[in-house]
Amino acid sequence: MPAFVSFVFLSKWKHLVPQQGHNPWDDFTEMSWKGMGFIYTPFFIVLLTCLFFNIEHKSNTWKHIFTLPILKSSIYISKLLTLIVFVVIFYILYIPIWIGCGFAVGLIKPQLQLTTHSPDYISLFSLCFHSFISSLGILAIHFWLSIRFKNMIIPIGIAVLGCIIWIALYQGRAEQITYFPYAYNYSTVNPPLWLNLKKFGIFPQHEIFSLLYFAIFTSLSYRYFIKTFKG
Amino acid sequence: MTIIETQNLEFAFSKNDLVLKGLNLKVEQGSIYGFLGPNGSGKTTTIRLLLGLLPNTKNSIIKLFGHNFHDNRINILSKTGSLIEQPSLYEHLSGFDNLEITRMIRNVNKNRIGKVLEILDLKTASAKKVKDYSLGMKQRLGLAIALLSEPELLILDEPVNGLDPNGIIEIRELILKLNKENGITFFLSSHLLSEIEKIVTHLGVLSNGKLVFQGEYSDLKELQNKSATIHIETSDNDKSFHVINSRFQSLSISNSHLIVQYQNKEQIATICKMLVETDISIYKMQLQNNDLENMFLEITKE
Repeated sequence: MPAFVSFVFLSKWKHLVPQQGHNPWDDFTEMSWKGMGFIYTPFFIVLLTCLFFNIEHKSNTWKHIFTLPILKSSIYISKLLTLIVFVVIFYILYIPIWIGCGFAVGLIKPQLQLTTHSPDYISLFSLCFHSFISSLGILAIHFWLSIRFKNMIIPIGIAVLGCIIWIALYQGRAEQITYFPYAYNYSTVNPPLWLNLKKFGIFPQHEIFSLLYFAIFTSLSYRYFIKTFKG
Repeated sequence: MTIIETQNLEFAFSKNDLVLKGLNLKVEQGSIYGFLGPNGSGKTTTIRLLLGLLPNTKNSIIKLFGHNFHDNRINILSKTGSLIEQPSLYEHLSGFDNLEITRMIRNVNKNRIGKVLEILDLKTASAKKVKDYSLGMKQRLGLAIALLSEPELLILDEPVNGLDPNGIIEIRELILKLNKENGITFFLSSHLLSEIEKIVTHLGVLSNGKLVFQGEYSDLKELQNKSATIHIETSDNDKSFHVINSRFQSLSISNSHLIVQYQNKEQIATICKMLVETDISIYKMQLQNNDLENMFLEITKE
């Protein structure tokens, strides 16, 4: 995504030269994060979760894992934590690459003034944190689906359907989007102005719902993994 | 000491489909127990229940190392290695990395990897990705993983399935060596008696979810002898029938010959002597031996 936005910046740079007193990083941030929000939830999270479990399904290794002297709850927690760490690593990699791309664009086209300004790091880390929170709901849903279905096409199909519904809801300015987890990450990076999102402390309403989805689907998948799942 | 014990082990995948019908397994320490049965008889289901891979829905008693499996799962699995059907391997990783994953989880000393690679003759292939391994190599790597923690019990489901004759011999020799040198108890399943009869000390024969034979391999041999018959053709079969019947009860007569249940070599000599003493000419005396393979087929047909 940073490379794609850099390409857009380089090809349309004449339209993006900042006016006096305007930080060019604001435009670079907006374009990058909107694109990331659009692709990140449906593609990255869903594919990461599906492929993560598909390794065990495909290699038929569950029967080996379950005959090792470890608690099933430990296996579940380590899988969930690893997945969360992967998501955190995504942000850790995304930010420096994104900043690096911004500075590279600035070096190639000094008129864009990206090297003479710097990004708003506090807003950036805040955005990362809220983006992560808003992704947790979808992560837990697909974690459960990936345990439940060996065939990874089913969770991917559900994700595609979820994204179609999310885009339709967004385009139709439907308030129900608040309850729809596939829309949460995009709602964080590009809050819909037509929607009056309530805030609970530092969290907007949809992020609270994301945490609730996370709690519900993590409980469901834990129960299924411990009681029923045999690999 | 009994390493594996089940009492009235039952299992059903659905309400009206009882796969296991009251199995009473008994596997003694230090034995090589062959678990035989045709395809679909319930061998893998039994193994999966023994290892907790299937839920013990009927609450049957499953004891390993003298302890209830359900209450001592971690302790039991720490002393048990297993290989169920095809080995569970990460094909995108090397043989070494596959071993390393299990080593870390089982908290085994790092030098064990080198040892098991040497035992299974995989040292030169350890850096190769598993997807490039032959079926025999994968099977050996699966065994290496099972052996990594120096288990006291190895449960192997069809360990020589799909291997060529050389591979089968290698695995057989390895099992015998590990049993003799390390005292590992083996529980091997197979659908072919010929595959394991050369190494087992004990046998359990499963047919339609029931254990139709269990005992030492020598017991099966004895049973084989008991099912053998002596076919006798004489100058006077009717008279011979009466002569032999005075001493040996299990006797039948057909148009051309007499059939006597075989007991031992001395019995043959005695019959000969009895017939000669009563002036009966013996034209033919043949021992009809039931080979183990046929016997296994007969047992499992019942």
